[in-house]
Amino acid sequence: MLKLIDISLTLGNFNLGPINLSVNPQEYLIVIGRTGSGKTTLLKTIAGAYSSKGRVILEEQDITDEPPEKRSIVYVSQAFVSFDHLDVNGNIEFGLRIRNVPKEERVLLARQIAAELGIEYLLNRSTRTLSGGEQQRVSLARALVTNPKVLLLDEPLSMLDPETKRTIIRILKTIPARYNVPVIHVTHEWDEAYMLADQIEVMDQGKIIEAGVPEDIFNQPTNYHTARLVGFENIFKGEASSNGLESEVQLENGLRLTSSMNYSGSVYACIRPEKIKISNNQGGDNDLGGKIEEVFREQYGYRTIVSARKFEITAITKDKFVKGETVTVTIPKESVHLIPTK
Amino acid sequence: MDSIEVTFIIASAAAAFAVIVGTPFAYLLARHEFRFKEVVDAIIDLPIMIPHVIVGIMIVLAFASSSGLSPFFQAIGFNVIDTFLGAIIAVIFLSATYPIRIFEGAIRQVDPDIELTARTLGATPQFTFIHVVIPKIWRSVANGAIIAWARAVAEVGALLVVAYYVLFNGSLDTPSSIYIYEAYEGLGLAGALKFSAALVVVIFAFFIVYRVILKYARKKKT
Repeated sequence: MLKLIDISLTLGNFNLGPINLSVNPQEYLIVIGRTGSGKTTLLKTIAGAYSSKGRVILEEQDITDEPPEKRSIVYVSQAFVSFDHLDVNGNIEFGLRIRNVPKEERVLLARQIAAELGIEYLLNRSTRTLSGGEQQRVSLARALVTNPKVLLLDEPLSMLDPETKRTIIRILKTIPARYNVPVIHVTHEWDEAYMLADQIEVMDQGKIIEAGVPEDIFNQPTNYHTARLVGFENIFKGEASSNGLESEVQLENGLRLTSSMNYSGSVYACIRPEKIKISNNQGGDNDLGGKIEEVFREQYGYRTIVSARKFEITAITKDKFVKGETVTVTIPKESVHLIPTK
Repeated sequence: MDSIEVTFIIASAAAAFAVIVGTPFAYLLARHEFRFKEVVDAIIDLPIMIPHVIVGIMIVLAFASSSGLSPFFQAIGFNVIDTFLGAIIAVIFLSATYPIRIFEGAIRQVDPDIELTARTLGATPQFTFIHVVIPKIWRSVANGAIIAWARAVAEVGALLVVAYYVLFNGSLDTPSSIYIYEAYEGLGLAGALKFSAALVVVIFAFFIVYRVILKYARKKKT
C-alpha cells in the first residue's frame, strides 16, 4: 500500500498540495485533472524526482527521503521514452542489468514479459522504428519486468491513435491483478478514467478536490471543476428552492429548470449533453424554445449547439438539425445535477 | 615534426579533458540551479572575452609567482613554466568554452523524463549519466572534442607567456603555433609559409579522418 501524507512542494509559481491519498494493493487509481493542474508533478514527486514536505509511505516504510532508484516505484512517461541506443530487448533488460540479474535469467524474463504484452516479435528491433503503441508496450514491459511496488503512468494513452488506445487500455486494465502492483495513472481524459479506474482522485490547481469511485465521480460530482472535467458541458449558475421532493432552479437569465434533486440554495445546475433531447415538438420536463446555432458531426451522432434565452446549450443528438432551425430543448429533471456553489 | 607532435599532445590532452571533465560539468549547468551559477557561466565564457596573453599571465601569477598559493605549488614541484603541464593548463582553460557550451546545449535537448525513467528502474545518477545521457549526446561530445582540439592547436597568446618551450624527447621544442611565429620573425614570410602549409595539411588530414570515423560510427549505431 502506498500512502501520501500531507505532500506539498513549490515549483516556481506552482504550489502542489497538501495532498493526502492512499493506493491499495492491486488498485487502479486514476488522477484526473486539466492540463497544468499538477498531475505530472504529483506523479514525479511520488517517483522521487522532487523533494517535498510531508511523507511518502510504501508498505509501512517511510521512503520520503529515498532517491528514485531506491523506491521500487517505476515511472512510465507520457512521451515515448526509450533508450534508443539499445534494441527492444536491451530496453526491457535495462532494470534487470542494474540488478545484476544473470544473463540467462534476463533473457528468459524479457521474453516472458514481451510475450505477455504481445511484443515478442519486436525483441531484436531498434526502438527507433517502433510505432507509438509498440513503444508504449515496450515501456510497460521494461517497467513491469522489474517487479515494481507501484507503477506510475503519466498520460500513457495521450499520444496514441484510437485503435491502439483501445488495445493498450485492455492491457492496462489487467496490470494490477496480473502483476500484483497498484497503478497510479494520470490523465485529463474522462472516458479513459471511467473505463480504467477503481478509484478516482480529481486534481485542480495542485490540490485533490474530489475523490471517489468512478460512478459517483461521473454521475454525482460535488465540485464545479469536477463536473466540467467529467463531461457536464452545460453548467448554469442559479438559485434552487426545494419543495421537499424536487427543486426548482431559477437561473441567472430568468430561465427555470426543475431538478429531481432536493436542495435549496445557490447552485450550479449541471447537465450532460447526451441527456438533452432536441425535437420539433414539445412534451417533457424543462422544455425550452431555442434556435440551432451550430451542428458538428461526431462519432455517435451530432454535437448540436442551441441558443435558448441567452444560453448556449450543447446536446448530443442522433438526428441532424439545420442551422437556424427553431426547436424545443427538453432537459429531463433527473439529468439536472445540482452542485452547491460553496 | 617534434613541434607538431608537441602540439598534438597538448591539443589531445585538452580534448580529453574537455570530454572527461567538461561533460559532467555541462550536465551540472544544464540540469541544476545553484548559487553563483552566473559567475561560473561568466568564467567559462572568459576565454572568448579577453586576450589570451592575459590568461597566460594569470597562470603564471597563480602557479609561478611569489604570491598566493604559488610558493606552495613550487614547493611540491608543480612547475608550469615551459612544461607540458603549463601548456596543457593554458589550452584546457582557453579551449573549454566551446565544448562545454556544445555539451550543455545537447544535454538540454535530452528529455529529463528519460533520466527519471532510468532512475526509477534502479539506475544511480552516475549510471544514468554514462549509460543513458552520454549515448544520447555522443555526436555532440565528439564534435565538442574536436572543437576543443582545434582550438588548442590554434593557441598562441597564452603559450607565448606560459610555455614558449616545452621539454620533449630530451630537447626543448616549441608548440607549432609558436614555431610558425618564430619562423615569421626570424625567416620572414617565405619561411613561415612553409611551416604553416605543413601544419594546415596535417590538421586538415586529421579532421578528415576524424569526420570519416564519426560517419561510420553513426552508421553503425543506426
